[in-house]
Amino acid sequence: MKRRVLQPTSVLICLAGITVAILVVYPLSSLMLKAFMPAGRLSLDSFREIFSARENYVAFYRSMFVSSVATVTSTVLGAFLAWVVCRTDVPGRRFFKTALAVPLLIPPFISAMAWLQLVGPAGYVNSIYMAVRNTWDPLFVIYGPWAIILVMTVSGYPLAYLVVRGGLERMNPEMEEAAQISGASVFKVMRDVTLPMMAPTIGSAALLVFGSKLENFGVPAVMGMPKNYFVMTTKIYKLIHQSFVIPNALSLAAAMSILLTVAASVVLLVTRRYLGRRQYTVISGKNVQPNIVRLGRSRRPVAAFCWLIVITTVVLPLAAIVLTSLTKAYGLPPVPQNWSLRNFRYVLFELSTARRGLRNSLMLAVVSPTVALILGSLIAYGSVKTKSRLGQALDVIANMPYSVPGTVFALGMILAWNKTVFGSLSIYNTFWILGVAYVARYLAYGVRNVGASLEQLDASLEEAARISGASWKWSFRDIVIPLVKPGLVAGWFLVFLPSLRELTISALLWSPGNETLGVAVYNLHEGGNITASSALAVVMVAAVFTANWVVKRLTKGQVGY
Amino acid sequence: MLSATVVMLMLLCGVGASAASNVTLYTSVPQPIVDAIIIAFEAANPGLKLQAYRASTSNVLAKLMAEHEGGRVTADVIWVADAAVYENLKDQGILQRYESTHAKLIPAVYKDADLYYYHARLTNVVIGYNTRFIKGDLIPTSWHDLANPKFRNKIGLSTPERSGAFLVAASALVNHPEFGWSFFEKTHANGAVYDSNNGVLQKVATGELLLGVVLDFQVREMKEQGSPVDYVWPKEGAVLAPSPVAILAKGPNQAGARTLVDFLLSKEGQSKLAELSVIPVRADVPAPQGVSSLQDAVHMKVDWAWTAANQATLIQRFNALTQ
Repeated sequence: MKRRVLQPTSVLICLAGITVAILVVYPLSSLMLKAFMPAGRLSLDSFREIFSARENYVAFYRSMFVSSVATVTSTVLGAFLAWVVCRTDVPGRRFFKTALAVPLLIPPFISAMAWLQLVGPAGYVNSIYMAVRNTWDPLFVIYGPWAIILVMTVSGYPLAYLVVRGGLERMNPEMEEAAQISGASVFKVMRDVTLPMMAPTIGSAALLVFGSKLENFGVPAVMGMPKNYFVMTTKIYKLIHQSFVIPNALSLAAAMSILLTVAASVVLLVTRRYLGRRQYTVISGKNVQPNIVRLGRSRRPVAAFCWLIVITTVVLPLAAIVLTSLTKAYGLPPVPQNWSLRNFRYVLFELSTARRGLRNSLMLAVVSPTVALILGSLIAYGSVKTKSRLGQALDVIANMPYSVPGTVFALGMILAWNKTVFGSLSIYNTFWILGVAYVARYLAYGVRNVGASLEQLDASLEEAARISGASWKWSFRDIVIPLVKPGLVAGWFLVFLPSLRELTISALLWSPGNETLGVAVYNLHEGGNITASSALAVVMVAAVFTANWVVKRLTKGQVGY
Repeated sequence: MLSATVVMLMLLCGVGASAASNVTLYTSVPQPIVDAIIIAFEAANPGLKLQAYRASTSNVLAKLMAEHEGGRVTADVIWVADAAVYENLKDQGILQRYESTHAKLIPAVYKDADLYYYHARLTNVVIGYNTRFIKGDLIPTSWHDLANPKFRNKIGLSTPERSGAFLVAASALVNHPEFGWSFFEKTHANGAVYDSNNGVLQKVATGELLLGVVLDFQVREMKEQGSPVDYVWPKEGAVLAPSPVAILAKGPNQAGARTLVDFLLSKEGQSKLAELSVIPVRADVPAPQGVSSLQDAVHMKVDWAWTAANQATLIQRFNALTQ
């Protein structure tokens, strides 16, 4: 008689399923309920109300406008720089290769703060002009949409650059060589061969950039809100904080969240459809030394352009923020006699929120990748190896929190947990709502990274171990784990860095005693304490740079910038 | 494995510190004052830990209402700048009546007749200006100066949504025969920039803005640190915006809440606030330096009942106007 034995794998997958239900399904369905059943029964009233106010169309249009323009500028700039670094003999190639990715490490909202200090109405540039001309009229005023686009480009081009650079490095250069041998000019090769072949890669880079811009909260919060320039993410944030004035604010915010998610998905699907039709087999797998384009007389101008980008996107913003952090009182000229370390003393030793923020962010940066990777591995294993329907469903669900904008997921978390569940259990207003939200948000990294490694792992290996008498546990430990370890390590660090600098989710889920570093910087800035917020921003950037350096060392350059 | 990790991590992080020793304050009082109060309160009450959630008045209220509806109030004490809202909260049964040990020393105008809340600090909404650019004849004298085209694009305002004190000021201005809603239409047309009270002040300090609606004590603080700012008392009167403190009926630590309210109203607590340039509510605590006696100062009339009843409309109308 055959006895049915409960497979340890299925037990684990079931456990993973329950966890995913709590982490992902519960908050997202709470959001849907709030939007479609505002008063306990099915109704579209919230949507009707959203569609009846002109300001909502304006916010929607603005979201689309700034994200689209910033996507075009970021992608053009990023793709061009990737080509320069990969395909030309520009002097200082090796340096630029790394330096051009550095802005990715500076959190976008800190970049926004720095740019305000640099070119804002009373930024360093305008201050010098006003002092020289003895006037109170600034040389230029940059605020609102164009300021948002500027900062989004500065913080967005490295993403496009990295994706396109990766594509170029793997692209088979034979076609380019053939064109060049046939006598085509540098420009012609680039226009007629490289660009069309790279189009799908550039397209997917643009998609990635667009998604990250559409869901960005920090930049429009810093540069748009003071001018009452609201985009969808800041509008939702504002609505959530209006529940005292507008009784159904949370339902409206939920409805708006669904509209934002739908908009993001439509753009994604349409572009993917379009890109899907133009796939070229350009990736040959082997890493070939590509043909280097000799820039000739353009060498110096191109190098100068690369320098300009590095200086304007890394050196100047960091210099501005450091200079402000050293200034004794805001409004004083940043000259040595006004310098002091007072702001650093304040944020590091006196301001308890900053200290707690630092501690909490470090803790979250360790806890969330660990749990996300463990859970992600189980789901990936269930989906790839056991091919069970539950496993595959979990794979899809686990990717959801990362596919929806962060503001939307955070609202789901609020709606799910601001009431008590199972008696008196609730993680609302605790450190754990942040932890749970981070894990859910970054679960996709765990699933994708481990899944990719698992797909390359042939089932025969595990079967061989099992046939030789190894138990499931042993075959898992000795065969599966060592083979997926590189994916695990890479995935862990890929979650570690964004957790350290997170703001979008934390801005909505923090509570007294449970601040994050990003929240502490943002609150200081929002409350108007610019010198202290700059000092804490310097601390935050230093922490991220150090972490990146350590990560790069530990992974031998595989992860990190 | 998973749950084991979670449990281990929870232990590591020391979740569940005993709640009885924690007092939680929800407030809109600026961070430096909150920091100073935490230090002074914990020194005066060993064994008690004060935790503060500091955000704008509307953010604090939104959080409080969400918790109240969800049945889990985390805050013990609320201290925001919008005095009108306390009547609403009192009517809804959210506040707890408490006869403070200092109640008798607080003048009747600075406390609720039924003792549900006490004004714990007084602020004046005034016009601040940049002293580097604004000198002599340019120094403003009236609220009307904010609509003067000379200062186009260089004026700053808060919004009733961001600031409770500004809400009170807006209420006073729109109900004043000389101003009304057209005043805010004019300032908006004059290129007003909107920020928190302190954000406006910081912008005035850098010269990004020249004039702004600000809180007097914040100007005094910044001026003392060396920033090029000062303020004027508008001839139509400044707006007195008290910020009351109250105990929440469903707060988890009632005893701690009472200790905190007593501390804030005590001579010690009020002196601490006066050190930070805030005007005290007790007659036996001297006002901060440079502050003229409140009795002589002209204040605009505030209709508290109207403000309490029309709060939401006021915010929405202001938002629509400045969109």
